[in-house]
Amino acid sequence: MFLLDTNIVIGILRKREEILEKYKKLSEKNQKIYLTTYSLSEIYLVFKDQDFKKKFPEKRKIQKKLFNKLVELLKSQNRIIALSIKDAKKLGDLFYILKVNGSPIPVLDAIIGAIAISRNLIVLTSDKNHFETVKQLISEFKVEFW
Amino acid sequence: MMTQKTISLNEKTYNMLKKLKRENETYSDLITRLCKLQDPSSNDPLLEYSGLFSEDPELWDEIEKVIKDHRKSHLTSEID
Repeated sequence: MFLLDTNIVIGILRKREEILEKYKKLSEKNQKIYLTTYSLSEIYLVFKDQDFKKKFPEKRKIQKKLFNKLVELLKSQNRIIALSIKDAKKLGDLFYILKVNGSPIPVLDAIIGAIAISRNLIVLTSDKNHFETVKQLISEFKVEFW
Repeated sequence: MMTQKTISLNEKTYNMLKKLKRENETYSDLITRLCKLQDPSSNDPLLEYSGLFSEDPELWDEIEKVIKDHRKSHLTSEID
């Protein structure tokens, strides 16, 4: 089972060929593929982008509407994950490990990482830097870099 | 106006389709429904919506940078 980072979700929606091909193969195998509410919030941030608002006001509205529909469909398939109490415990452990090792990473990366560890999911991301740190510190953390 | 195509079916296949056809469903609807079952992308909303952000690549490169910078601006070391 897999957990998509925001960059992979956007890669699919941008039709980035390399990401899309890999994702199609995974989807064809009927693998359970999740994403987090935190990735959704990052994408909702997009619709607040001033450049986007100014240059393409109508397009932005339509894309937001369609994105809302996509979220509803994913929700109906139970593919959107938020932080549970069990995940929060793992996140606390991860915060501590990162701190004592002097390896700060973005909080959102830590949240996604903790959810993946807690639920035994493989993170799919194109951000090698920070998830590599988690991988080095926690052996049970699984990640693939696309 | 949508064009019509005629296809031939043997009796066995026709009877199989007839059994699967729902009330108020046309044979076109039925065949579309069956085709969708065979197409994994139709069951995956992310594939169905791929291309939603495919226009204006330069703008989206910028937007992705905004997301990346926003994420980097909140590091775990700031939590004590």
